[in-house]
Amino acid sequence: MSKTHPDVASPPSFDEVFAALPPVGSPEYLERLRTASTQELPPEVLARAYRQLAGEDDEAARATLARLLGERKGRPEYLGTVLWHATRRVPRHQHWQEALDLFQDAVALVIEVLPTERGRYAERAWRSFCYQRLIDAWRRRQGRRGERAESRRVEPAADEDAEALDPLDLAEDLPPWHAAVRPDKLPWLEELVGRVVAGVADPFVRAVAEDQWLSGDPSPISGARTSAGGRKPLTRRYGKSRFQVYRALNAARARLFAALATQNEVEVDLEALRTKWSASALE
Amino acid sequence: MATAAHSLDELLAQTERAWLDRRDAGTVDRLAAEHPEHAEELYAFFSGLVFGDVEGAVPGELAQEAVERTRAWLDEEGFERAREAARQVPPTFVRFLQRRTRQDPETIARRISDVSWEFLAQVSRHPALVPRRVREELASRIARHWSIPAAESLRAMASSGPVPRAASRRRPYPPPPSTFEELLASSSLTAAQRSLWAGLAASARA
Repeated sequence: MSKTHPDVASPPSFDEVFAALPPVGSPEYLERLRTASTQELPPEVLARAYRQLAGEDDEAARATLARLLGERKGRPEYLGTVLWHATRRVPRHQHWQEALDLFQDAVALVIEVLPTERGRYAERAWRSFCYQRLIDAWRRRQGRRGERAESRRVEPAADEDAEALDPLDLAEDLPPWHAAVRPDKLPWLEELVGRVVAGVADPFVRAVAEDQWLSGDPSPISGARTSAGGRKPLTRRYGKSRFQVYRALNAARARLFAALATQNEVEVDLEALRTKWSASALE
Repeated sequence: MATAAHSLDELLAQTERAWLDRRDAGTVDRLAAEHPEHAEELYAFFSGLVFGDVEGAVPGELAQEAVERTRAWLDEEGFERAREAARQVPPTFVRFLQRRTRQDPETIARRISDVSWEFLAQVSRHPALVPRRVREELASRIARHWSIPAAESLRAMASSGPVPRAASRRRPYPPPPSTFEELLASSSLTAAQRSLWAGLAASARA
């Protein structure tokens, strides 16, 4: 088992990276756009260049935008988190096309807002700028608080055939992080989990994490069944949709993963854990 | 407390920079506690920072389709929409100069004479600090070199405001000037050039 802390980035120096660019619009600049790696060209720097070029130099602006919204190895180079969020905003039983439509709407809003004053945020924090555009796009589709999406979701009724239970209704039967550390470190891990969960400031996220990880009797997420100890599904207990419960669980997982990634006491197989969690809990 | 119109923007940006720059996950807890009305969004966003940008976070086929759709959409309408969106933003003075002269910044500054591109950019950012006599002199020189009516240049200066930073900048930006003298001091002018424009400003005040 390897200790695989993610690389900690150097402090950002977007000003320096930006200043080191060839003059925007020059042939050298266009060449840099073609050849520089993702690490060499942070999205914040590209956003700043684009904001300067937009409306001034169509060719260079177009090339900058193509890089910013383009791909690397078959994945969106700078929009990976936007696509990830889009998949989490669309219920699993709906077609993937809806997630792609939402992603596309968010990209359109990125283009629309980037040249404006609010686009300044993209020069400093690209992912949060894009996330806001995704939320804007989602609200346009679903209503400000997702009313239209919520109304389309059908929660299983209490007397529904238990054999038809969706696996995602079930609680996590074994906290997955147990496989990421040596057995003799489990007490340490459980103490860390307790500390992290207690520090979560959102009451619902905290309650879901406590239930699933610390209660010893995790509730089903949704559906008709109860836990072994008779606990009702989280959707019923909190009056939330399955979608909302999963978002809360994802948030708790991310917070715990962050704590595991930044500690130096115990070796943790972080990549295995992240791979499992980042791809799981798709509604 | 965040009270500005873009407060969630700011909180999300702080969360992002804390995690990406310092691997600081405590910031999201702190901000969520201070701003419970945004707690849900902050944690949702944070989960994307942690899990959303790694290989396998979304199925490969979905990622590929997103890439292809975006490329096709950009070609079909996205680039045009981007151009249109940029046109909606009021032009700045420096953009006005580049658009009308079709020359690069250094050439524009050299032809106007006694100015640097930084000076013109500062005039563009902070038109309220620039005395009318200075603006008129600039407009007059621009009219002389490119036959652009002075009234147009004056209008462009009047409509300017904060602008994106220049890519050719070699160092981080200092705090914005609060007087015309500070503006001159931050404009990479020679002493003689500073003296010329300061004198013009003083003559207008006299």
